[in-house]
Amino acid sequence: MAGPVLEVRDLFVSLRREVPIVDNVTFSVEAGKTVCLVGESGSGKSMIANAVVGLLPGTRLAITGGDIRFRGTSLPELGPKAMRDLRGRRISMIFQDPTSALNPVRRIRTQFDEVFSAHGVEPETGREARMRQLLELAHLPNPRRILDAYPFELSGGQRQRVMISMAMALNPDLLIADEPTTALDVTTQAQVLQLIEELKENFGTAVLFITHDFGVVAEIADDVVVLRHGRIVEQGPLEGVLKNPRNDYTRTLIAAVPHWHPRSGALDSDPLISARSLRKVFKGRFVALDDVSIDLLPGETLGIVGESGSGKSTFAKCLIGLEEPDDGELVVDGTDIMQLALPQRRRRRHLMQMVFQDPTAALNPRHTIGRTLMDVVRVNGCPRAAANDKVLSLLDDVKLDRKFADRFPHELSGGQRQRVCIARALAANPRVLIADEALSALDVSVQKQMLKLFEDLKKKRDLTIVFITHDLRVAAEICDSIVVMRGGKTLARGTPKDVLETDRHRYVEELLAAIPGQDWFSTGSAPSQLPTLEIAGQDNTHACQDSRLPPG
Amino acid sequence: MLKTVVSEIAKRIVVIVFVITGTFLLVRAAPGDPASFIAGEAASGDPEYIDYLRQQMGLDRSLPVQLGYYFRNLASLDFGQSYREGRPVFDMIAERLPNTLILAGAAFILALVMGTTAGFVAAVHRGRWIDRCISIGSVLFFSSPYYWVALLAILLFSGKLGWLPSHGTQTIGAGYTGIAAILDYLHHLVMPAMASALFTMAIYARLVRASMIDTANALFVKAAHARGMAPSRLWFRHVLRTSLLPITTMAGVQAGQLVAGTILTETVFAWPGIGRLMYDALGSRDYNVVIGVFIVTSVIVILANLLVDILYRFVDPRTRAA
Repeated sequence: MAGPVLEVRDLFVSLRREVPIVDNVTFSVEAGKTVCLVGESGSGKSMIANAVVGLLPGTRLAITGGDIRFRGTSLPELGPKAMRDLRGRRISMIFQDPTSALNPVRRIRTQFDEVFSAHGVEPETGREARMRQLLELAHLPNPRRILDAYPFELSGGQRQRVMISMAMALNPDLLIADEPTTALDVTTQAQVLQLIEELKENFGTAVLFITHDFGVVAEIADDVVVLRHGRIVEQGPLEGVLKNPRNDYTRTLIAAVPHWHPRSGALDSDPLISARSLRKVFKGRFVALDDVSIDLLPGETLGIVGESGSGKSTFAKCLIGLEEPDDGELVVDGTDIMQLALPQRRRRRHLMQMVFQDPTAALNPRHTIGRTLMDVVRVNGCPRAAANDKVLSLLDDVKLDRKFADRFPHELSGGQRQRVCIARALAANPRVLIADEALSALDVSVQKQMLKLFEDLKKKRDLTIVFITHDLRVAAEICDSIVVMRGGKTLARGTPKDVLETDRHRYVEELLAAIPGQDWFSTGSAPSQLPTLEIAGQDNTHACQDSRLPPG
Repeated sequence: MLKTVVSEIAKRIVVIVFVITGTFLLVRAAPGDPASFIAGEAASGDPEYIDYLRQQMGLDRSLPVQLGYYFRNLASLDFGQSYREGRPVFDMIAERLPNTLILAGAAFILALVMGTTAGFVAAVHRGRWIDRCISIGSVLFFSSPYYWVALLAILLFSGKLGWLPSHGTQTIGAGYTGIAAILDYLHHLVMPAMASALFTMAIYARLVRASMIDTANALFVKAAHARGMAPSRLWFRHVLRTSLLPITTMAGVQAGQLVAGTILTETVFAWPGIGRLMYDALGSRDYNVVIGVFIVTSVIVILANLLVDILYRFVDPRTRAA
């Protein structure tokens, strides 16, 4: 069929009588092409997706202008019945969080089968075979086991593959992917991006892909639409936007993709914390830490890199005393704290503080920021009279306005909340700050600012930082040394230069290969060390070779 | 699976032993004993007669010994004799237990079905007039003292309108048999069951409504919507089904409470169940009856909870894996 699959023309979405959230947006998606909507949270990119499928949240949001045409038909004019018929059959959608996007109490088979029965297609006898075939296309081994499983029995990557299989079940013309890889770690992300690419080619589907990460954009987009505050600031073919971004904001987003500058030059001093042969086994079966020895030097930034399940978070929890190692020593300042009695250990707890991945969940929603900080300040022995000033100075430290003290977490953005979490960690006067995936839930541009904040704080307060991440680019950029973990073991340790370039472990190669957008942003995996824009025209499939499963 | 069930049952047995011991000691700690009560009814203040009665009943022995005997007898389902009626307590309870179970069971099912339905309707139509009516109704029911509602119901339905009988389980002197007797029984059941159910029903309605509105905002519901599911399928298969999990827990607690709560209903409606038996026994210090009823009620409550815990494993697959 000729013409674009999806045409969005002069679209406005507004809350009743207020400033539009989507402001005069026009773009189109052709069959077999991928259009990326890029922007930070609040840019309106998800609103556009919701408007297309007719699922704007709440009753007060509405399309207040423009048109959305799908294969020539105006979607806002369709009735609910006709719209329902399109959803899932001709327009499919996948979401950021595959865990909450599947019904937790029903088997995959039941949920999958519903796609067919809701649209009254595929005779019941043929469904089982069709579902297995679709799961195989998504490179899920043993489809029968997957169909029998409940969502909680699958990994994040498997769940997202299931979601994608369900979305592709009826061969849709348009697939809308709303940040489908943001919640996944880097190797799984590469595999899922690869899968979407494959399916797009096999089925000739048009893809509307929403993301905040220009790395991902570079990997999969044909056309790019950059959004800010609901308006398009720049749009065009991938190459043009990446090579010659005309808009400053686009440039900021592109610059926010971490660059490849592995540090070299090791620090040399006695360790501040020395973990020796730590071992932790959960439920007598799952070995989370297996003979892990890591030294932490005063004043260094140590990156612990690995995928989900590598044991990196368990290690951090052992450090701060949230988990008790089964075996091994944990020497802090010359004392093995494992040998100490609980009260003595508790007295040392303030020395190490943690910042968690999800700042929303880590803050009490009913406490003001001021109260959250005040509690920690007071617990650590600050007299009442001085506590208030201390809270305000903490806000200064993390570059938040003092007026935030009276606000509640829901009044803050994700980045601001994470700053509060950092301030709370600092309130205990720690010597070691442990950041457990503290940036993964944030927009790329916010990540950039947070990295700067960590650097500043480190200098100002003479902190030692443990940085837990699955993103090698971030680790390479800010860490003095890196530990690579997998399956509870340490695979490599050294300066970023050594671990990531000079003396590369095979697993590190795999991780590097999985970083999205390496044709555009140098990662050390590509031959050159500088942005290699000249190879842009090349076939970009080599990016995922190492981690890709053989096609089903 | 079997292992967990067995260990759950073992835990409950320990609880039951504690309940029996606690009840036994508590009842003995209250002032006055059946010997003086019976002596009082026989208009005799003679201390020798009272001592004689105490000896007869074994009340002169030390508490631990009494407790030991009690447990030994319980093992053979011997709850002792009623001091007042001179009959085995077991027989008295067995006679009346079916009435209580029928009343509590009817109230339970009514509350569950009507409460869930009301909550479901309110959630689907939230913000509209029908939601408001249901909300106001449920606040009204669970904030009014329930014996007061029962009394009003008697005034209205049997006094004023004469539709329903006000007390008992059967029309005295009618001599119904067969189907007619069953219908007569059910006719008597309507008001006590409704009165017991109202409070719980109101709680279910609110719980189901809140839980469903919560679930309706979950991403998986939106995802199912985006797959083209019709609203009815969304509400029934995705929202309701998931929202019933917290209700299951609540139902376990409520089931026990309904049995325990029959003491009020049975008194108001003169329903001859164990609640009524307990009420009478308390007044006359009939230790064995009081303890017997108490134990039976506790065991029913504990069993209901055990059943719910096991049921929950089937309803929520996530707990099965843990």
